[in-house]
Amino acid sequence: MNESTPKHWRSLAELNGDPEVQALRDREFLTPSEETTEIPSRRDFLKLVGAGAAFAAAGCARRPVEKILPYIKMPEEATPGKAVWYASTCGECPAACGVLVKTREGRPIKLEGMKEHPLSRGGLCARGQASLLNLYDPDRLRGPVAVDRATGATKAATWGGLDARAASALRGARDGGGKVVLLTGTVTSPSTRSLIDEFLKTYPGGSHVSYDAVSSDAIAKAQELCYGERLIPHYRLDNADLLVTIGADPLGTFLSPVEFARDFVSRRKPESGSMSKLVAIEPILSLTGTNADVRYRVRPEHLLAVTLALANELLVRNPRAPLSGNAAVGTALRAYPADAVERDAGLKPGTLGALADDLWANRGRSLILAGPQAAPANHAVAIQVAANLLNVALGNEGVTVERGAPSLQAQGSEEAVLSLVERMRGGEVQVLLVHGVNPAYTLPAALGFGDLMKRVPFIVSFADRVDETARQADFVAPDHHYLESWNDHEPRRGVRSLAQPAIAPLYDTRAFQDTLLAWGRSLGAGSLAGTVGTWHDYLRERWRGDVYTKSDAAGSFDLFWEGALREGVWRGKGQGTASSAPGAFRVGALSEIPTTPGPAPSGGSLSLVLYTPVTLYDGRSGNNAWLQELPDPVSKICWDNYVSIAPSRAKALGVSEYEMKADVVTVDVGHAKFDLPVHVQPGLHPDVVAIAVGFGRTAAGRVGNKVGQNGYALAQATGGRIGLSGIPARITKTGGRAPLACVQGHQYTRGSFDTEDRPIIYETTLASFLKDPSSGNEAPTNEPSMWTRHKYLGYRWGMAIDLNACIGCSACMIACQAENNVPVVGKSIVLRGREMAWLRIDRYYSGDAEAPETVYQPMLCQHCENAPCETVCPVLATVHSSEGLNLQIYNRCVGTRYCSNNCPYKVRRFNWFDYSNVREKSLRLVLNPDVTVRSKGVMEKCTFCIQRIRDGKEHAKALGVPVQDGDIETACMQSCPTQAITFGDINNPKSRVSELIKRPRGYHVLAELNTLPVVTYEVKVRNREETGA
Amino acid sequence: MSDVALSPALPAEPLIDPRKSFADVNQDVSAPLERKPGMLWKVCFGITALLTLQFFMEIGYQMYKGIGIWGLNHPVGWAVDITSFVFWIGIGHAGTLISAILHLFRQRWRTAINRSAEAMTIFAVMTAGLFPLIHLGRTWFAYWLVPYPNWRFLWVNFRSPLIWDVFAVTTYLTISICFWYTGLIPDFASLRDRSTGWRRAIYGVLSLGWRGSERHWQHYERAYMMLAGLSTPLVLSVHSVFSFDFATSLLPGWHTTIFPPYFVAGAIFSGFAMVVTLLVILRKVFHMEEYVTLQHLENMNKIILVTGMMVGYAYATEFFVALYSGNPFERFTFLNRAGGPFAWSYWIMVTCNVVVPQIFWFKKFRRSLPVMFVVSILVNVGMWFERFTIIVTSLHRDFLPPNWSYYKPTIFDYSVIVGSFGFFFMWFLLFCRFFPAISMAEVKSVLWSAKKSAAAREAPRAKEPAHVS
Repeated sequence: MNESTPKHWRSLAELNGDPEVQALRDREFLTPSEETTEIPSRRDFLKLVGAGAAFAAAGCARRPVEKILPYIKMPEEATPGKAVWYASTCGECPAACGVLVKTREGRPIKLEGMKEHPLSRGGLCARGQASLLNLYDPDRLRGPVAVDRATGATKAATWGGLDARAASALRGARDGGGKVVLLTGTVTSPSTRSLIDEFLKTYPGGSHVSYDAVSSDAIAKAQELCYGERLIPHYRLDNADLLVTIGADPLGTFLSPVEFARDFVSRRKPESGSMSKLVAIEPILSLTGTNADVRYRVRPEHLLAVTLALANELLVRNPRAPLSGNAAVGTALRAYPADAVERDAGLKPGTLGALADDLWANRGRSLILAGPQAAPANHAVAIQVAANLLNVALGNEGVTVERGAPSLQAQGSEEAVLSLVERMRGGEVQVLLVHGVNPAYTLPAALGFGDLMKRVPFIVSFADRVDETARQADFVAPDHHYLESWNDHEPRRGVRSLAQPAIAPLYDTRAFQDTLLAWGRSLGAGSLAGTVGTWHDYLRERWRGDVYTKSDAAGSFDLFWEGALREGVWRGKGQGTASSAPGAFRVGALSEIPTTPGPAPSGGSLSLVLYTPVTLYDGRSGNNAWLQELPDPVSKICWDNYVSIAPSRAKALGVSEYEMKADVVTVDVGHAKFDLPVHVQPGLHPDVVAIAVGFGRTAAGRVGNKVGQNGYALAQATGGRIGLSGIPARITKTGGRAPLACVQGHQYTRGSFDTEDRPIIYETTLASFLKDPSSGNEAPTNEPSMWTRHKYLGYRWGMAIDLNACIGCSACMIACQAENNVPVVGKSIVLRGREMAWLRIDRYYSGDAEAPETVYQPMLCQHCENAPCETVCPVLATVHSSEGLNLQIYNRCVGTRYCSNNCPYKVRRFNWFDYSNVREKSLRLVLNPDVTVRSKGVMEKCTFCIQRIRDGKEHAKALGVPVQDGDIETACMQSCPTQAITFGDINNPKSRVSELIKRPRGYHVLAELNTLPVVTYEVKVRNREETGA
Repeated sequence: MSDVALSPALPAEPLIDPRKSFADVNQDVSAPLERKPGMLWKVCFGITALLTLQFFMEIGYQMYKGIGIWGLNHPVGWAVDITSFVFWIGIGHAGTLISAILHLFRQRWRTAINRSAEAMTIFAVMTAGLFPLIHLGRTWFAYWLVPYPNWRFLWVNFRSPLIWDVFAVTTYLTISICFWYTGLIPDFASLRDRSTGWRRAIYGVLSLGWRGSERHWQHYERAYMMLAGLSTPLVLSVHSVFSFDFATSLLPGWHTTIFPPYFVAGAIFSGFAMVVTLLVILRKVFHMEEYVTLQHLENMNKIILVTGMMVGYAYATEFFVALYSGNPFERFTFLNRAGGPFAWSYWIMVTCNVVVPQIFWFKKFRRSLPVMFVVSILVNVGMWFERFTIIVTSLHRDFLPPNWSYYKPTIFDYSVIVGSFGFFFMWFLLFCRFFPAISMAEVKSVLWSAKKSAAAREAPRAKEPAHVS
């Protein structure tokens, strides 16, 4: 202290240094009651004890006891309140995208796409993210059970007892020469495949049958015919200037949707001066079709002819491509001239010629992608051969179709499973082990798989519940959830990723591979005999042998292993990057093509398409409430499947769908029939009816049972193939009506008047955009205001959403749900219009109701600067933050709902009932502890993931720097496979979001209201002629 | 200055039979209070009490279970709750208008009806006041809407029209009760003087020591005039404030400047209709035909006719402005009202509020009890649907079509509607039993002038002293 500073005193005693004053100064608190060191006298003590005893005896009501249990053994990495991330691989479907598992206090609470993974690159689809909920599914088996085949009753079993029974059955099969069959889905794990091989080698008649309900078998088969090698090529949508999908849905459910979506959108940036063009030829309105620039509706029976007519245009009528002079090609294509095919398929004359010219103009940079299940079973391989022919003719081999690093994401074989059915019918199969598939549910009902299982003496299922197949088994030996297991995956040759447990197994389950090891060893023969160690050890050894030795890693294997675990994904040097040389196309394969188009289906006949929905896929996660409540991206209906029919067909049949009530019809394919409500689907081919598979589970669990009907029951099995498309069907009205829970089912209803001139969506075409980057953007800017603007001195959070990048896949909706503890409410509540999604995707159609164009608009709280909600709340429960966030204070909210009424975007959600009280304890574990669960009577809405903002700010503060651009990502932005959403600080002129919102494409929804939203949308740009498709 | 001179429009026919004496008035008005209740009253009271009971059971269940038991949904955040709130507040307006404004304008015919109209106001406001409470998601925190000092430094949002509502309702209720009670004091004294035992004690306390002295009358008249002056602006302001709930929002169909006068006219319209409904029953049940005459009822029917046309004009203006404005949202909202899924509610409203009251152009119907009873009920049905139309049809289809939905009431919504009527009528029945339903003191003043004019007719040359009451 400066000498000249005067020293102040308060009393003489203080000045004189009285010891009493000194003592007082030493005490922190002057009030005696706040002294903690006070010791009660003996009398006081007795008094207190007496009073305490009296109160206890009087039985005072207590608060309910809540136990906080300390760790007995603190996990090494767990810091309470801090998230621990594990690199792993998604096990929901064989696409095997890389994920990061976020765990809190030892429990996984969120899955996010891994940025470094070459497939997912940060995004993750809705199903992948929702697979987290399966871990906590209360209907999972708690341990192995024995099933009484006659009654279906289950009895708890022990692993020891099960192993003994299995060993004796297996030994019996081996010694008796009976067949042992392991039926699985696609196994993307090379180590598991090698373990299966070792396990089955012991049995003379052992075989491994792979079968996928969502099958790409036809592609592999056609590759085998055309090039001699059975594989699925790696499709490079990022290299395609012109992508023609023929019944394929690469953005929705085909093979590797996250990867394809990312690749596709990487070429959809109009600012780069060019954009790829997507032409969809399809019978139903798929997710890919809704994103197409040009779309043609063709019924499934004509898809093959249309593909061949394109080839005919390029190779026969106007021969210009390689193979033009080839006699076999000419013969194969002779019956498919474009004009005749156009006439049959109902396309405008000249359509295919023009498309062929367009393809030729883009030769070497185009891609023909035919859906493996889109055509009728007898065309399935032929259409793939035709697509291969086109890709060869256009020189796409090696550019957009890479066979050098093939996809391993679909290895199932329809022939194999159908031959298994035949073997079962013949009683040849002694032991059947079923893992990862549910054939009793997904195989066509006509095959009678469930009944044939009765002819197999011993069946074990590895399902996590007693599903439709496991019901017919002797034992269910539940496998771990993939988040509890070790595994590795190779989704594409050369890309290896690891899956590691993020949580100890919740129940008495056992890894499928451990079970195989145990059984293999128990036989006392074969390569597994005498080995020790768990599946984890086996996996490590495989990696030591297969990966480590081939890598140029310098350190020990342990170091390499730890590194691989940390990274999650390993890419071999020089592997997986070489593109294959254009293989020699074997024209002999063209013999698959029918010499005549066959009899054209009569005009009035209906063709049934069983399609794979984006939400439920093949029904494997039927008990997942997040997925059940996720509206289908196109129809926006959840909690049900339905018969989609075109508007004109609905009129002809006299059926309708109004205000969530739909007429019920009977769908009859001859060998099976059932009743379902209709959904009038714009864009569907008028002669097509479509039903989503994946519904109608009977043994999924409490959530998934009896939701809709099982579409697979209508599937066909003919000529060694399973047909999901082009099945002749009849539809009759039952007279009943049933509710359909559609979250936006009210636009195309009577009394809508015109809503076209609403300033919600703006679009333009590429040509117009290149002339004028602000074309189509008619939103007013700088409306006058009576008020002075808010001042945001520090950060100001904002968001840009590119409508041109959003494909409607709904991954963000599940990300938001998982991140923000958004409750699932169930069908009856959705029917009352009370779904809770903070972020929804609005789907708009434009143009003709029979063949509309579609656009998606993610809609979330716009965090308006002039927020209409903020002024009307009587208790200031919703207020503006200094960083531009519109905050909702749950514990101040009294629930007037005025804010929601006054919100022009209607993005607020009200807790009509107590949704926060999750009855199933295991489901509570999935809740994000950083986000409050909202109680009854409280309004909630998107917070821009304020917990992530706080996390990012705290991180920056710890480092002593401002938040860097990209440090904070909202859950929706993080999950978006196409990076349509960008979040950041718009006060920072250099941030990515600031750059985006300044682009001429940016506009605000309902700008004329002058709410000044902080979410900027970017105009949708279509790569088509101005006059429309 | 004579009353006749002040009110030249007063009809030649006296409001009350001049043959009645002051004692007759006391006797006739007090009689229902002093005899045992009749069977009709008991049955009516039983029904209304049961309805009230189920109303509060519904409220209890709703607080336990959540507001979701109503049919509200995502875009439709308000429906029966706020519809009933505005409806009941509107009902209340006739009371204030009759008591205060007609008093200030020296409309002496009001004297026979003002007491019951004021009572109706208070019970209507009480009923209305329940709805803002029970429509909350968390009713138990309703007190947070009151700006009270607290250590958490939480305050209310004075920018929110809901806070204005809180002040409007409480002010309105306070003034109405004061006004009503002041008017009751002389009558309580009359009742006290007629009764014995505990009734005498209670009426004695209620009459605040009234002795009818000149001083008392002077103070009374002053206070009454002052309260009438205070109430008068409330007639206009209260419902204007409620209309701000809608007018200051930005929802098409709500965001409109016509709302304050439109709401006030509608409130008076529905309030008068409710008074007619009640009086038709009251005069019958309590044999007060001689006090509430057809003349009174006809006057009110005239007001119903006028205000009915005012609301009709407002509907037309709204529609015209919406179509003329060129605002697509506004245009859509009104087309949707008249032709959308809730068209039935719109056309109920137009029929009941605009078409039906036209029957009152005919004197025969204006004076026909069955006609006016039916019309008055239809008007209130129409006015309930007016609020329903404004609230629900504007909400159910607003800016972004994906938000659109339909509103379907549940059994609990109906329970609330009938419950509120039960609650209101239960109070009204109690009032009829324990309070003088007609203002004896004020009727006597009319009787005095009636006697005078009767006397004048009989002896035209007799000199009358000018008398100012």
